[in-house]
Amino acid sequence: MIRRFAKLLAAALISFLLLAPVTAIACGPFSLDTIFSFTVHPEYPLENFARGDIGLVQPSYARSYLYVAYRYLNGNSFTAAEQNALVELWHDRLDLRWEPAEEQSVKRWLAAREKVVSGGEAPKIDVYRSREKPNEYETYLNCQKDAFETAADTLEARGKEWGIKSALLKIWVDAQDQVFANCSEGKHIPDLLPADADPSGRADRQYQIAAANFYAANFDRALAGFQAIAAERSSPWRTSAPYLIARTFLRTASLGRDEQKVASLTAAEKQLNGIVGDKKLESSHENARRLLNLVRLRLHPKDVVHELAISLAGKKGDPNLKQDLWDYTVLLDQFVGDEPASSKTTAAELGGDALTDWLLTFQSETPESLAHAIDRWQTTASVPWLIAAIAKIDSSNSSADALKRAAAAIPSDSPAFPAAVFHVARLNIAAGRFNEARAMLDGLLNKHPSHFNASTINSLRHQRMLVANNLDEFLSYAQRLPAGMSWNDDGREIPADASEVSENVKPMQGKPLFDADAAKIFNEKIPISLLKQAAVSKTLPQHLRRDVAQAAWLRAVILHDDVAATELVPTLKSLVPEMSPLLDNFLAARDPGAKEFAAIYAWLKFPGLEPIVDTGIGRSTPLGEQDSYRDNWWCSAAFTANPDNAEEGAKKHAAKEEMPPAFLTRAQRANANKEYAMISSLGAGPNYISRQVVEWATSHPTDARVPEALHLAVNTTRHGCTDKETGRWSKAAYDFLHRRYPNSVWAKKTPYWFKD
Amino acid sequence: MQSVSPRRVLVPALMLAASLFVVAFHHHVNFARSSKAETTTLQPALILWAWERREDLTFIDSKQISVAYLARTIFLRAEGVVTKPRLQPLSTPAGTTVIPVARIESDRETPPRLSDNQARDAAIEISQLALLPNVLMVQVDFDATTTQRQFYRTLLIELRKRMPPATKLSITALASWCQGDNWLANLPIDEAVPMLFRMGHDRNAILSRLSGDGFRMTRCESTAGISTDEHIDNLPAVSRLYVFNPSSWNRDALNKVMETYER
Repeated sequence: MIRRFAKLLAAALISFLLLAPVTAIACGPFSLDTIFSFTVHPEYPLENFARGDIGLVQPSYARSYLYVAYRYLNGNSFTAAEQNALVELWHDRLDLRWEPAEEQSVKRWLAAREKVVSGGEAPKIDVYRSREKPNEYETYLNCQKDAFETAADTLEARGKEWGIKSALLKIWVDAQDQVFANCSEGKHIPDLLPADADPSGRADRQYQIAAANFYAANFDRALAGFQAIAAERSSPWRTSAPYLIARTFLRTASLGRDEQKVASLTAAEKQLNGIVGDKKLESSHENARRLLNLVRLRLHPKDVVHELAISLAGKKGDPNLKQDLWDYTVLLDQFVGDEPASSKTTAAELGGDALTDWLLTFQSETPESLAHAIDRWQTTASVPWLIAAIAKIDSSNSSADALKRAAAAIPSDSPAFPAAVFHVARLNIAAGRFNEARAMLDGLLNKHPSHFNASTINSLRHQRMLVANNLDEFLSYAQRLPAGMSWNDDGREIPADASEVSENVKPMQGKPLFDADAAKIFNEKIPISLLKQAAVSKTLPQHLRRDVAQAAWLRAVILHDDVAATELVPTLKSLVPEMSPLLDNFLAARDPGAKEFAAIYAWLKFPGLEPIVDTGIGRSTPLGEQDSYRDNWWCSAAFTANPDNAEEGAKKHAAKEEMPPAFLTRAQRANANKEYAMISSLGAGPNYISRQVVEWATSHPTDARVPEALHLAVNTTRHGCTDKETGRWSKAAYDFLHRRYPNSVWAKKTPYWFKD
Repeated sequence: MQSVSPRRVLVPALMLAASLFVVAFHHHVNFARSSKAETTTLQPALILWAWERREDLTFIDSKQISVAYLARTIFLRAEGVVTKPRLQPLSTPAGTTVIPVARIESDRETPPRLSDNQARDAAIEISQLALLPNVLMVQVDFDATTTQRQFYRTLLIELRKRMPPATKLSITALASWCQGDNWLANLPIDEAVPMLFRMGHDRNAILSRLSGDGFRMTRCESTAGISTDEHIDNLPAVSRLYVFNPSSWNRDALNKVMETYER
């Protein structure tokens, strides 16, 4: 009981006094993200990471994962019990677990009470209490589990001693009801018993009065009460009282005036040290030690960070691993925050231990952190520092070759192997040693796939894609199996339950998709001439060929490449047969202008067509249907993403600006650049479409398709992506429709135009 | 020629619809309320979200800034409702207008039944926030998939019934709910705050909408929720701006918000 109480107290108070690292705020629309490489935490199941399958460790992982990586990189491991503790900690944080631990104890107390006070309504007990002004919006756990356990035990004992139906027991229960009435509000203090009352009843009452004052936040009176009990040799509560004195000091520090805090914590520390050093109070030692840890955490946090780091890095079989790691990471969050580089607190100021130094250095992106990592590696020759240094270095650094040699020597059964080989390959590519990189990556992906988790394989495939010898190789490595799918509405990267996946998305599960880096290359670095080949390549599965084919065809249309657009029609018809009649009309058109209008007309009827290749699942609404959330007629390329303004979650998964794939010729790169510049200058898709329709309508007013096309053009400005220019084009289409075809069914179906 | 923007026609139509809605529901539950006129009178109009972390906001000017603080997290678990109160310190200047926020989470290990009873129990827990001092509005933060919408509708109706009539009811809204998704239309709320951050891969579509029509004709038109780490270039002129900061607030972070968004 005592141990449970102390653990609970420690957890609750740490949560109260320090940062809560598991907070999240919900936002964003509900769209399923495809995660190819996890960034906030390792991929699920987290048990794999806990047992040493650490894969390509990312500096963006939360620190509790980096701690585990550090241990494994250092050649240490965790017992099965420790692994369970780690997984429990991670799920507590990721799943925002919350257990009202007092509930069962309150029930136990009320059940015990019911045996004495039968009938009547049991008092309602709320264990949380709001603070007084000016902190009235804060709540704290006032009455903890142990209080109810102690009350139930004592009631049982007094029932045996005094008799279950005795008047003394009844007034004992009445007083205890008053004590617990303070849990949520008010100041309910029992009266002293008369001098001639039963001595044990009087002693209990003295304890109840002190406890009531404690819960009513009358800390001075509570302190005086517990001190008096401690001095009372005949009281059965005298050995508990010293510990409760310490708790009163701590509660005063937490809830009292700011200027009292340090003095109260210092008094609590002194009191607890006194208990630990007093053999007569042995029954309170375990509790006192735990509370002492908590007091020190607040009074000497930097010392505690250092002590915890030493303990966490060195021990095996730590029964308190979860609590120690919880405290350590919470304290680091408090001192360092999310960005070590911008923190005013350095590892040296936190005691200079190796674990904290490594964690903060690995996470930092400053040049100084690279220099420090290289220095530490050169000094220690340790694997963690090798990985920290090689993860940061670029190929032009004078230490790069030495680090590569050291990393290449890491054996394949080492936890460091995935990170080591990844960075060796990365450095080879950056140095232009494509053949070396290619050979190495082929060896890894073909001979050692079991050494890597899905996130690592995708990172290696990304590199292999960059050094592709030809288009077919590029297509082979551009497609990857997702490491997970997540709603990711709060950045926690929690894998989605299968039951939550929509029917539209289910067919895509388990299939290879394009990661952001591959899509970016398709959209910005590869010209139509190669997209055409990709659209017919059997290296791509049908669903990816379909995406490439529609992008290639529409891009060709927009760029007036009639030859390419025409050549792509058979492929597109086979992959999107529902477009066939419209594509036949496109083929039948006699001149470039007519072809273009036929294509625009088809686009109006297929809102999902885009001149770009999608990332991940992409748009899940069928091509021929309007998406409910306005992902219609092409959005993404209408805006040049500003990395500074991008959302945090997107930044982590966004494709970095990379070199174009090695196989592209200079001419192909130049063509791709030109095409991309033209496409990205067009603005929102509906504006472009409406303009084309109005221009065609002006020159071909008798075309029977025109009224409908004008109606559909206005519709794109309502249900597609829009910008400040949209109103102009919406009005132009609307005006033309109503001026020229006022009695048409399409005019009647178009009562409004849409403007900003 | 009929040069009519949809607003000119639809706003009166929506007002008529809204008034009919009020009449229709008045006999049953007294929750139907107008939205814009009432909520826009709530001041101050810059509101800082103070999430479950230590927040010392004593530096704010309470005449200019309100605080929406996470007051409770409601866990829906099987048939039950488990309430976690705020356990982190929160300091505000005396007299600050506060908006207690209740965050609703579905338990991952024991998924909720989402019954009417559960909606009622959650509403009872949230309604207690309206009794706190200086509270003119209560905000509910939740994620509702399409299949969960009826549950949340019931919850909000139950909550509206239990709150003092003068207390406003706000919800946070996925930005996508504010662009052509009608489910907000007949909720008994005074405002829906579109969350313009962490918007996933629909971000461009949403920002595109913002640069054009904004969120007009929806319950989201007068408010916006942004984060300090995601700048919104074309933020519409809203009367109430909620701001989230990924870490605890400080004077610098607040000043940056006020400069950036000219508040």
